[in-house]
Amino acid sequence: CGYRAARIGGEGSALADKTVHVDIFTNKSYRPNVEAVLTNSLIDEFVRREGSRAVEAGGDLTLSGAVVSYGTAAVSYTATDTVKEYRATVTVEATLRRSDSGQVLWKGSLSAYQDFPANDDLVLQQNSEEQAIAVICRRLARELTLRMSENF
Amino acid sequence: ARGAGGGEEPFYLDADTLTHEAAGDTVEASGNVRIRGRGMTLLSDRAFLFGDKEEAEARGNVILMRDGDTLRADRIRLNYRTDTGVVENGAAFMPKGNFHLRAQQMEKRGPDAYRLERGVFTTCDGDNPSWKFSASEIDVNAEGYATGKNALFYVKDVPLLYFPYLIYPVKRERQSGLLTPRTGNSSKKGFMVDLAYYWAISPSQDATFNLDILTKRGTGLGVDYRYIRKRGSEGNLRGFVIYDTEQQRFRGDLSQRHQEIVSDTFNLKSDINLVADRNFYRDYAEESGVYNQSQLETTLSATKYFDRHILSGEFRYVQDLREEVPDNRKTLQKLPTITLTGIRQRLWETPVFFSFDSNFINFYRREGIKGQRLDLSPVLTGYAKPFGPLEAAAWVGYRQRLYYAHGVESGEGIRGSGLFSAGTSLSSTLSRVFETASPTMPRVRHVMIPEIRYNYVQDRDQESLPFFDYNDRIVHENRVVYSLTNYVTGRFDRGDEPPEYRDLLYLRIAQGYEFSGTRRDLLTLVDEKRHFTDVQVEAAVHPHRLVSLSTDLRYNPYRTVLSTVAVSADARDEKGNAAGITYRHARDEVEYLEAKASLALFSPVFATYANRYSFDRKGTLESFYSLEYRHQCWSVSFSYRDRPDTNEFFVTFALAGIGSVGKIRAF
Amino acid sequence: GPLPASRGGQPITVKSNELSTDSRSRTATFSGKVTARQGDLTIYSDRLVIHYREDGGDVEKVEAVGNVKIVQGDRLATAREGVYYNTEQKIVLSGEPKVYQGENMISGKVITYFVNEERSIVTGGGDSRVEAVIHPKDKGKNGGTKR
Repeated sequence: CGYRAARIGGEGSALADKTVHVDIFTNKSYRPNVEAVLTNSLIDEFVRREGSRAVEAGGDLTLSGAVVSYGTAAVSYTATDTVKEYRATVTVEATLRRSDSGQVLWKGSLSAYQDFPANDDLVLQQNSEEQAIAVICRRLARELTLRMSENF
Repeated sequence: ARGAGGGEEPFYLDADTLTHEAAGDTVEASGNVRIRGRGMTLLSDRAFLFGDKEEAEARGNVILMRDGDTLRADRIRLNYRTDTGVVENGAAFMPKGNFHLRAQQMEKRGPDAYRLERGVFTTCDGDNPSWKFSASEIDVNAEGYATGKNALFYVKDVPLLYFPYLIYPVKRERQSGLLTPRTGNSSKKGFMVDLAYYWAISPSQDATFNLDILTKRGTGLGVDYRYIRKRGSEGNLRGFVIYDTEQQRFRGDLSQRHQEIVSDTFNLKSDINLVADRNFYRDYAEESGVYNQSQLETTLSATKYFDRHILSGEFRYVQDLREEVPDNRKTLQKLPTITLTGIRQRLWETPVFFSFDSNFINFYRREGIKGQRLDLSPVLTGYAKPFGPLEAAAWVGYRQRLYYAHGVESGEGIRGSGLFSAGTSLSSTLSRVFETASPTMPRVRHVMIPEIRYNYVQDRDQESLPFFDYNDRIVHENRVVYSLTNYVTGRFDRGDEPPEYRDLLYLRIAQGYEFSGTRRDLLTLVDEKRHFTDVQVEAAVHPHRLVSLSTDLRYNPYRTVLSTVAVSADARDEKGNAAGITYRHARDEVEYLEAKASLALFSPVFATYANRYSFDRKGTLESFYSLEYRHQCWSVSFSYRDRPDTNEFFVTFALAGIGSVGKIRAF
Repeated sequence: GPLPASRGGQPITVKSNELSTDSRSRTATFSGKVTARQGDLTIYSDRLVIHYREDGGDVEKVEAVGNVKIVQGDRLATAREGVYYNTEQKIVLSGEPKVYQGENMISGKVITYFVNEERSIVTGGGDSRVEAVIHPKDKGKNGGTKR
C-alpha cells in the first residue's frame, strides 16, 4: 500500500544503514537530569527503528545536542485562582554529523510539552513532573529521528 | 575585463570630468562623482583617489553607503586598505535598530568602529528627534556597542539626565531597561511611580536599578544585575526590598541564577528563589502565574559527565506559599538528591542493552518524617526487527529500594523492598510520500506509528515502608496499551533556498486495558481506574503558518463522556493582529477558560484584551486591557488589569530600541 | 618619477601604403595602415596628416583619423580621431576615446593627454559621462607603471 519503514535519511539516502554514535546531550537548563532521560530515549528510538547495531560508540554518524531550556507554567486555575494544572516544556537543539569529516547532515531545534496536575503535597507533584519529563523526552526522541529522516 | 593580477576588487567611477596623473597615480574626479566597489557606494561633488597612498577623499554632499549603513558628511578621507579615516560633520544611520549618529568630528577606526567628538545618537528619524543622547566622546566598536562619556539625555531639546558613562547596544537586540518611567495606580499599592536607571558596567555586565514609589506601601528598591563570564558561564541576580508601611516590616524577594561551566564535563548551577513572607507575591506581583504561584523552589545542582554515565547532585528547597498553609515546617525537602544514570549501552555484540537509574535522597522536614532512601533500578532491554518494518523490544527490570527513616509511625529504622517489572512492545514506523497539486507545497509525508506495549510490575505489599512519595508505593501493573500516532509533514519549496519542512498534523490515539492491578496515572486529574483506560486523543493542526489548533482529551468508554478536555486555538497575521483561546475541563475538578486578542486597530494604535474565566467560580478571575500608541521611536501604553481582590492601571513609556521597564505581558 | 627628456626634437618616422604631399598647404598625407613613431610613442590610424611649420621643416601637428590607436609604454588609447600637437606635446582624442593602463580604463567625450607630464584630462559632456575602472595597486605587486 506504498507505506515503507521510515529510515533515518530516507530510503537509499546517504544515511541509510549507517551507524550512529549518540553523544550524551549537554544541559543548558536549570533542571538537572533532563539530558540523561533524553539521551536514553534517543538511543531507544534509534535502536528500535534502525536495529541493535545502529548505535555504537565509534558510529559513522554522531548525534549531539543540548537541552536548551526547561520550564513549567500554570495552564489552569481553580475558582480561588490557585494553580490546578502545570505545563512542562522542554526545548532541545541537535546536530547530526558525519563522524569522520564533521560535515553537518542535519541541524535543528524542537520543543515539546506535557501537562501535569498540581498537588497539595509538593513532593507528589514532583513525581508527576518527573513523569511529564519522561513523556516529553520520549516524544522529542521520536520527533527528532523523524525530522532527521525528512528529505522527501 | 579582469586582468590576471586583478586580485583586488576594482572601483567603478563615473563623473563629469576626470584628471589622471601618473605621478602619484592620482585621479581627481568632479561633478556628480559616483564611486562603487567592494560593497560600498560613494557619492560626492568631488573625489580624489591617491593610488600610492591608497587613500580616497570625497568632498561636498558626501554619501557613503555600505551593507545597509549610510554615512552622510561634508568631507570623508578614507584609507581603503585599513578602512580608517576622518569624517567631517558626519551623520551615520544604521537601519538595524534604526540608529542615528551625528557628530562634528568623526574618526573611522575600522570596518564598524567609529570615534565621535561631541556626538549625538538617537533612534528617532527626522532632524529634531523626540529624544536623543549627546556625549563628549562616543566610541562605536565592532562588537556593536556604543559607549559614551559625559552623556546627556534630551527630550526634544531639554537635557533631563546626566550619565558619566553610558553603553548602548547598537546592533544587539538586547533590550536595556533604560529611563522608561512607569506610573499608575493599584488598589493594593496606591499611586505608583516606577523609575528605572540602566547602568552598563561593561559589555559583559549590566545592571538595572528600579525605584518604586507606592503611596500605600512605601518606597521599594529593585536591582537586576546580569553578567557573562568566560567559557559561557553566565548568571543574574534580581532582588526587591521595601519597608511596607502598611505592615510595618521589610518585605521583598530575591532570585539568583548562575551557570558555572567548570569544564566540559562538570558544571555547577544555582537557581535561588526566596521570598521574605508568604503573601509578598499576592500583594506585589502583577502577572498571573506569579502573584498566585503556590510554591517557590530553590535548587543548587552540580553535574558530572562520564563517558556513558551522568552523576548529578541537587539541593532543592521548596517554599509552600498556599494561603491555607501557615508555614513551611511540614513541607518535605530533598536535601540532597544524588542521581547516577547509566546511559543505555549495548552488551558486547548482542541485541541486548543495559541501562540503570539510581538515586539517593535525604528527605528532611522540620516536623514529621525524616530519612534517606536509596533507589536502584537496572533494566535490560532486548531489541529485534523480526521482519520488514516491525520493531520489537522486550525489557526486564529489578527495582530495589533501601530506607533509613526515623520519626515515623510505620517503617522505622532500616527497611528494603525489591520488585520485578517487565514488558514488551511491538511497533512499526511507516511512512509514505504523497505528491500534491500545490506548487508551494509539492509533497506531503504521512508517518504512521502503530504500537502495542505490555507492561508488568510485580504486586508487592509496601505498607511497612515509610511514605515519602509515590516511589514508596509502586502500584502493581498488568496492562497493555495500544496506540496509533500520525505525523503529516508538508515540504514547502522556497525558490533556491533549501525546502522547509513543517508539521501540518499530529494525531495520537491511545487506550489501555488493565488485566489486574490498580493504576496511578500521574498526568491526569480524572481516572476511574476501570479495566479499560480512557481513550486519549492528542492532536495539533497547523492549517496555516500563522494558525494552530491543538487538543488533548480523554474519553471515558464506560460512561461515554469526556473525562478531561483541553482545547486551544491561536491565529495571528503579519500586521500585529492576533487571537488565542484555551478551554480546559476536567470533570469535577476544574473548568477554566483563557482568551486573548490583540488588534492593530489603525496602525500606530494597538489594543490588547485578555480574560481568564473560571466556570467553577462562574466569574472572571482576571481581565486585562491595554492600549498602546507606537510612535516611530517611542511608545506609550495604557494598561488596566482587573482582579476580584485588586485592580491596577499603568502608563508605561518606552524608547524604541530601548526596552520598557515593566514589559506589558498579558499573562 | 623623473620626466623623460623633452621629446619635441626627436624625429618622427611614418610608414603607410600611400603618401601624398602638398607644399602649398605644407601638409603630407599618409593613408592605408599608417604607423607613426616618435621615441616610445606610436600612433596607428587609417589616415595621418602631418602639418609643417612655415619657418623650416619642423612638424607643427599630426592629425590621425579613423581607428586611431596610440601606444606609449603600457598605456594604450583608442579613438575615432586624435590630434598630436608637437610643440605643446599634447594629444587630443575625440570620438569615444578610451585610455587603458594595466587593468585601469578611462573613457569620456574628449581626452586630452599631456605626453611629457603623463597627465590626462577627461571631460564628459551632454549625456556621455566620464567613466573609469580603477584597480587600486597592491603595494608589493608590480603595477606595471613607472613610479
